[in-house]
Amino acid sequence: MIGDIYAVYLREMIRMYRSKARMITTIVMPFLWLIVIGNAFKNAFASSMSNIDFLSFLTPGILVMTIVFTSTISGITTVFDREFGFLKEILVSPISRGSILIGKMLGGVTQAMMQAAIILLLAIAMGVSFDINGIAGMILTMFLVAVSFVSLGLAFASRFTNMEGFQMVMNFLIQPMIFLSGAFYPTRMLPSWLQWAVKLNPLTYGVECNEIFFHRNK
Amino acid sequence: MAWNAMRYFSIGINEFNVAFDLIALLIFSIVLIAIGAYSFSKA
Repeated sequence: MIGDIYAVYLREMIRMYRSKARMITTIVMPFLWLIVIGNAFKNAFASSMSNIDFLSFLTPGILVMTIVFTSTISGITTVFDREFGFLKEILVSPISRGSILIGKMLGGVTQAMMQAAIILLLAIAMGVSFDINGIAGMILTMFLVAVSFVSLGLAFASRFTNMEGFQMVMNFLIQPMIFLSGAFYPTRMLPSWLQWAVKLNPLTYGVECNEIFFHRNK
Repeated sequence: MAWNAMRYFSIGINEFNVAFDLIALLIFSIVLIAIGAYSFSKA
């Protein structure tokens, strides 16, 4: 079983390595958010955050955003496999479905964590500091977010037969979740009728946890 | 009131918030993994 999982996992990792465009765009987008939004809104939010600068506030949210985008997009490999008939071949092979699922999930989680690590290094290079004692908590939080959204991506990918439909639905679903998670601004700034959406959003808890671990000693 | 006291946005930081958020995140993860596994089993 371990060998089966590893074979599927390895295939996912090789595909990521070969898909340079996917790898670069999923890193560049959050990095642009960090640079553009981080600098544009720095002064606007300065009065509401007395003990922390906006770039430091934004970084844990951007890390979670990177995880979410990479995790859900990793589901596209399943749609791709279905379109080219590989999914059918692997499903009729002697490997159990559980092994395929775990291998794909671990592949997606590894890709997301690697990209978040790159964004964290870029943020540090931009002068953002974080509490090193919170790193284990951050890894745990990001792992849980990655597992959740890889699963969500796989759930949708299992139903879709074309890549365009999958991408549109995932964007439609993911973007409101990110905007309502407090990744870019404190959620208390939202009106009270939106607070229920914030509380029901799984990402809110991920972003908040990451922020707490990130700023532990500030 | 209790909810607001408990969940008041993070930068004030207390350990109870972390535990609450992690448990909520864990529950959501389990639900999403179950949905993902179910959908994939029907693929």
